[in-house]
Formats: sequence, C-alpha cells, structure tokens
Amino acid sequence: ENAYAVRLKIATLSPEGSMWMEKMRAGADMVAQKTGNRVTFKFYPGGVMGNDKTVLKKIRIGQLQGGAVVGGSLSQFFPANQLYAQPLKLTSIKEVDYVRKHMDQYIIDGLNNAGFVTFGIIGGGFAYIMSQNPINTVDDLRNQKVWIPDNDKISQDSIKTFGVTPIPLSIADVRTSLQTGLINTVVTSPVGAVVLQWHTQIKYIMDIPLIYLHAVLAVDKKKFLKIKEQDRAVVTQVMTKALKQIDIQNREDDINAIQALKNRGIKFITPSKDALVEWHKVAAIASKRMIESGILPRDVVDQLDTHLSDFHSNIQNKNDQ
Amino acid sequence: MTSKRKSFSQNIVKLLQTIEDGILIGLLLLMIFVAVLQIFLRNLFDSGILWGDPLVRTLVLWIGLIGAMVASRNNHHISIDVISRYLPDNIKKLTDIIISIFTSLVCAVMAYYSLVFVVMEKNDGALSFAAVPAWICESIIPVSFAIISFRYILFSLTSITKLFKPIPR
Amino acid sequence: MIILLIAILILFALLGAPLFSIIIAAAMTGFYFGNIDLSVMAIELFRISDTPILLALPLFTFTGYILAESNTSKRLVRLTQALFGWMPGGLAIVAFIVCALFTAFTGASGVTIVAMGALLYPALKQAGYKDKFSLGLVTTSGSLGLLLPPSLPLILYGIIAQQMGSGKEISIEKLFIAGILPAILMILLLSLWSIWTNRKNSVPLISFSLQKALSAVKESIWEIPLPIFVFTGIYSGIFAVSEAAAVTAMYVLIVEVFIYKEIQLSQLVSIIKESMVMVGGILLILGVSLGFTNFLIDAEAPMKLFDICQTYVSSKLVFLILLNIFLLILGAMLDIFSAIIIMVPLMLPVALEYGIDPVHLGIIFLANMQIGYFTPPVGMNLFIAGYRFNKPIIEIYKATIPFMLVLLLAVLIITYLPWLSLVFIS
Ligand code: NA
Ligand code: NA
Repeated sequence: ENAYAVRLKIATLSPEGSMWMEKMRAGADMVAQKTGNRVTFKFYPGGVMGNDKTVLKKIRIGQLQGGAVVGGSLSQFFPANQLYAQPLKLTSIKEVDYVRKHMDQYIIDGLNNAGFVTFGIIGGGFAYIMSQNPINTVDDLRNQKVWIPDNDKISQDSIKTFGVTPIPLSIADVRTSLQTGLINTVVTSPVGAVVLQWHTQIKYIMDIPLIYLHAVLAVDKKKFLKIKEQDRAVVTQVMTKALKQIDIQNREDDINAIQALKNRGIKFITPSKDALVEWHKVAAIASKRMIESGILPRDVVDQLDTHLSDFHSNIQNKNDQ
Repeated sequence: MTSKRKSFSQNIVKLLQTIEDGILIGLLLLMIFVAVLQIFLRNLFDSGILWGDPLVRTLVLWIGLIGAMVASRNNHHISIDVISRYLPDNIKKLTDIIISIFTSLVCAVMAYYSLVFVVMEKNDGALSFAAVPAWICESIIPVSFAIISFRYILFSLTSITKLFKPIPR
Repeated sequence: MIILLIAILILFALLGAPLFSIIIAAAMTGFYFGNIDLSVMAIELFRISDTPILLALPLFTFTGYILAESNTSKRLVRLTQALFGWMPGGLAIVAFIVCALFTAFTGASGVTIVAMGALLYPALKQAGYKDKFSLGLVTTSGSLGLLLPPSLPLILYGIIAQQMGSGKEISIEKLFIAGILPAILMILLLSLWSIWTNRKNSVPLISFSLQKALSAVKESIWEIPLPIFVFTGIYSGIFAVSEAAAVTAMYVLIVEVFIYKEIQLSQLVSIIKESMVMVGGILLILGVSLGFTNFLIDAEAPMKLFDICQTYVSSKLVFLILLNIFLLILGAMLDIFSAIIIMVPLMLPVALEYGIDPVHLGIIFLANMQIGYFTPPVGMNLFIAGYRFNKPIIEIYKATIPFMLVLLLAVLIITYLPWLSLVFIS
C-alpha cells in the first residue's frame, strides 16, 4: 500500500509483559502513529528467536531487523563496546553517570560503524560476585566453582585473570547447577539474580561492583536507512526516549532487587582494605590485557580514566569549597 | 571389463562408507572422552578445559548429522508410512520413486541454502570456541544434506531402472 | 494453492516419505511465502549445538544399546522379580517410576524411550507382559516425569510466569512441590490400569525369598550402581546431567565389555554405529522441527490460534476445557520450550481473570503437553518409539491409546481438582 512502509522485526530475551516490553511496545505504537504506519515494529519476546548469537545471525540474513542484546554479544562486531566491562573500573553509580555522559557516544558510534543503529545505551547496573560461600579475597574466589556464560569470550578472558577456571554453562542450566552444587558462584546483576530466581540459591554477595553491564537495541543499519529520512528522525527520537525510560527504570529495579536480596537474608560482604587492594591490582591487570589483546584501544581507556579522575577532582573541589 | 569396473566402484563406495563409519565412531568416543575428562579435571583438580563444553555440544550436531547420513544409506529414517503398506506392488514402486525424488530435492535445497549460510559466516569471520572459525562447525550441515540428497537420487535411479528392467524369474 | 501444497505434503508423508523431509518442505514453504531467506533453516538446525541437554541423547542412547545387547535385561527381570515379584504389576510399576525419574532431568527429548526402552521393552516381555502392552508402556513413559523436579520446562514456566508480575509469588520451589502429587497420580493411575489390564495375563506372582533376592543382587552387582550413579550423581551435584550421561556411558562400556565380557570389541563397533544412526534419525527431526517451530513463531500462528480459542471462552469451565484441547494441539506442533515461552504470557492473564492459580496453570500446562508427545497422529515420541523398536506407526498408535486415555483422565483430574496441585503450598 505504501512504497515507503518498513516493518522492523525485533527479537528480545525479555518476556512479554515485562517492563522492557511495555516500554518498547509503547515506543513502537508512538512511532507507528507519528509516521502514519510507515514504520511499524513487530516484537518476538522471551527469546523465542534464540539466544543473542542466533538473533544476530537472523539479522544477518534479514529474517529479523534488530534485537535487544547484551553488550557482550556485539563485541564480535565492535570489541570496544566492552569498555565498561573492565573489572572494578567503575565503582559507583555516580561515576557511571559521569563517565557515560562522555563515553556512551563512543560506543554508539562504534556500533553504528559496525552496522547497527542503537538509539542509546541501556544501563544494566553492576554485576556482583554472588556465592554460596563467603568471598573476601581473590584467593577465596579461586577456590569456588564459578559460572560464566558459555558464549562470552571476553568475560571468560577477564575472569581467568583472577586465576579462576570458570565453568561455562548456558543460562538455562545455571539455576539447577547452583542447586546441585556443580557451580557455587555466579557473577550477575541483582535484577538478573532475582528474575532468574538464582537468588534462592546463594547466600553471600561481595559488596563491590565487579563490572558495569549494558544492553542495546541493535537495529540493522542497512534496513534502517531504507526508512524515509523524516521518519528516521521520528524513530530515533521516540525510541531513544523509550530506551532512556528503560535505562532509568532499570536503575530503580536494581535498587529494589538489592533490597529484595537483603530481605532474603543474603549477606553483603565488604572486603577488608588489604583484600580490596589485591582485587584492584588484579583488576588492573585484566584491563591491561584487554588493551594488549586489542579489545580496547589504549587512548579510549585513557580517556575513560581521565573522565574518572576529573569526576573525583570535581567532587574534591566541591568538598573544598 | 564391466564387472571389474563395477567391483572397483563398489570398493570405492565401501571405502567411503568405512570412512563415514569411522568418523561417526571416532566422534562418539571423542565426545565421551572429553566429557569424562572434564569431570575429572573439575572434581579432582578444580580446573577444566574452557572450550570442552562447546566442543562437546558441537560434536552432538556432527554425530547427529553424520548418523543421519549413514541412516540414509538404506533409507532408514523416521516415517509415518501408513498407506504404502497397503498399496499394490507396482504402484508402490512408482510412489517410492516419487518419494525418493522429493526427498532428494528437499535435501538439495537445504544443502544449497546451508551452503549460502556457511559461506556468509566464513566471510564474516565469526569465531566459535577456542578460536575455531564458526563456519567450520557449521559446515557439516551442507555436507550432510548434499550427501543425503545424493543417496536419495541414487535410490530413485535404481528404482527407475528396476521399473523398466523387471528382474527375470 | 497453499492448501494444495499442504495436501501434497500430507499425502507424501502417508506414503512413507522421511518425516524430516516433510518437515523441511513445510517449513521452507512457509518461509518462502513469508519472504524469509531459507538459510534460516540452517541457523535453526545449528541451534542443536546450543542445547546442552541434547548431549544426553547420544550418550544415553549408546548406553541403552550396550545394555540391550548384553544380558542386562535378563538380570533386571530376575532382580525385580526377586524384589517385587510378590507385587502385582511389579516390573511395570518399577518401569513407570524409573522412566519418570529419568525424564525429570533429561526432558522428553526421546532419550527415555531410546535408552530406557531398549532395556525395559525386552525385560517386560521376558517377565510375561504382552508385546502391545510393553510397547505402549515404554512409549508413554517417555514423557512421564515432566512434572517432577528438576524438570527444565517447570523451571522455565516459573521464570516466565514470575516476570509477568501477576502479583502472586510463583517460585520454582512451589512449582516443584505442586508437581509431585499430580505426577504421583499419573503413575498411580497407570499402575492400577496395568494391574487391571494384566489381571488375566500370565504374569506369575512370586513370593519373596531372601536367598533369591541376594543371589539376584549378587548377579547384578556391577549394574546396581548405575541408577545410583545417575540419580544421586545429579541430585548431589557431582555431575551435571550431561556429565552423568558421559560417566554412565564410560562405566557401562567398561562393565559390559571387560567385566561381564558379554560384548566383544568387534561387536562394539557395530553397536556404536547402530546407536548413532538412531541418534542421527532423531536429532535430524528435532533439528528441522526447530525450523518449523520458528516458522510458526515468525508467522505468530500459535497466538492467532489462541485468539480464536479465546473468542469462545465464557466461563472458567469453558476456559479449562478449551485450554486442554488447545494444549494438546500445541503439543503436536511446537517444542515444549517454545510453547511455554509463547503461550504462558498469553494464557496467564486470562487464567488469572477466571481465578486460576498461576502455579496450578503451570501444572495443567505441562500435564497437557506431556500427553501431546504421544497423541496420534503426530507425537514425537510415537515416531521415536516406532523407529527404536522397528514397528509400524499404526502398531504404536494402537499400543499407546489405552495409556493415553488413562493419562487423559489424570489430566482432567489435575485440571478440575486444583487441590491436588496446591494442597502443600498454600
Ligand atoms: Na501430539
Ligand atoms: Na512437540
């Protein structure tokens, strides 16, 4: 009927009825309305199209035009999108806010050059070390059976820096494996732990944020460029706003999830000063390796470090005044 | 002369079948070995091979498809087969030929589009476990369907020759 | 046009075309009309290697074949006769329980039929059960146990339902507890029916003798650790499911080849080959079914079907009846995981409106899907059983129908008697 009509089929792991889906559907409705149905979305929630790897293949052959995927999944196209996944680099949500204000665009541009339009970065909160035994020192961690997602090469490399031989399993197997004791330690966000009900199987959380997680709604750039220019602006504007809402809501969910974990009686362990020094020492090696192996460009990591020290000196200045 | 040539080609076929069987058996033994090794490493030495699990899972696909290739040697595949047993012999011969051609065509189409996918993956340079290119893991799909397709075309050819040259009593 | 194509495919299927080729043709036709690159079939097939539980299939199949080729089934019969021979339906009941536990952690991917059936089918016949009964039993038992922990579909239902935010807590523990009585009901009804249907059959009762029991135990001393391996190994966390499968395969290989010496090394080669051909036949169908499922999902077919059903809903009773019918149909088309992911978010809000407890809905859902695996004409486990035991599919249909009716009764009780699922959790 309309020569310019474009339908974007989007897959996501979030199930129907979740906050993610509600916000994305609301955005999609708005886009359809504002473009006179020239741009419509069709969602495939709940992972029915497969895991991120499969979804990306399906984008490649054109069955899908996009997917809401976690950052790590796109690192094959643009490795440096793992900038925030340097262990123990970002340690508070305030740091994250400051750094993201300056660095998000770098990731967005990188993904754009790699063929994906993203409408912004969706923060996923910090991942923590959650375990059945108390973990205080790096040595404590080495003695645990640590889970790692079976398709995340970069996390695998960075956990190895800590001297851990992780146990790769698919997400579907984690809960049962925690229950049976095949693994006893996971690294995930509080929201993730609650949603996947892993929190019923853990007793301790080490109370320092390990890495900062993010996700993106990655849309195939070739397809996106088929949309009429004025409609493209509408899609970008509306979806950026919708994803921003998810980003904000995620932060609230994260706070609620941490509270839920505390309510369950899970103990939050703060490592001793000495232990913390060692954690940071090993983490620094992990960052260094990410640079040396070519995942992260050195100048970009330096930029991030500069922003971090700017942030801290700003605070210092404010405190001095 | 012809019988000699025939026995030569028969030998080739036999050799290829032996290789096929050998790969199938070898892959299963490898799978059991790696899986058991993982348990020992994990429980006795608190370590493990990081690519052990993805390797074993890829082996499942390979064993499945090579097993399916071997199954198609004598059309030993799951089928519903409720009418054909009640058909008269002549008609059954004809339907068998049609079915073989159909199966061969379907597999050929499948092989073609799998090949397109594998070539695309090769060009994209995606990696699987332990730096093995993903396309190598996926390559078994076009290969197995091509061979299954070939086997079903042979079935139909054999059946067609039988149809025109009835076996003398 | 499309109807003509469907008719041709059905005709080809009935004429005996390999099922996998019918499924590929159907899926590709669908994708073709949906303007989707047919390479998607390869992408879906490759997902077999993303499914860790499938590792259990080749390993347990291999184990099952070795046990079937050695004299294990004879020893199993002697052992169960000595221990449970005094009990009517002894071996049949043991078979139901073992299969249910086995399916609880291997899923209903056909592993139970191929691995356990190979052992139980000859054993049941040796113990005096009729061929048809034995065949029906092993086919049915291939999906018995989906309601028992740590069944993966149950966990998935819990995760999906919880995220729907229905207001009620739907913990996986609650689902595990809720599934136990319904599962016991199923086994109980099947056992009662087995005893009744074999009442005139010459399965002789044997009074218990300690001496006989001890000698039977001694004879099977190398095989008795097997179930302990498998069950305690997994439940205690020494092994993952796939690892238990590997250890079992290795153990059985050593015991039967080097200790009982009932299998020659030369025989081993052909056993491996035959068992892996079986695995190939099944995996090929599973793989291309993923493609067909994906076509249905892409076309949003299950949702459309549900919408049609929903227009007829006027009361809780009608909803439950339609739910039963709908889920049985769904079980024939979709794999269980896709069915849960797609349908639960659609059904749960409707079910809540009619005052159905979400935990109860989960049990109903899986109980129905369980039967879907072997309802004629298309149930994956029927095909697998026919393939494994080399029987015409019609014979399998006839053998399973009585078992299906018994389980249908169980599903009706489970559906209309929420107490059974909810008694321990409220
Ligand atoms: Na069915
Ligand atoms: Na099914």
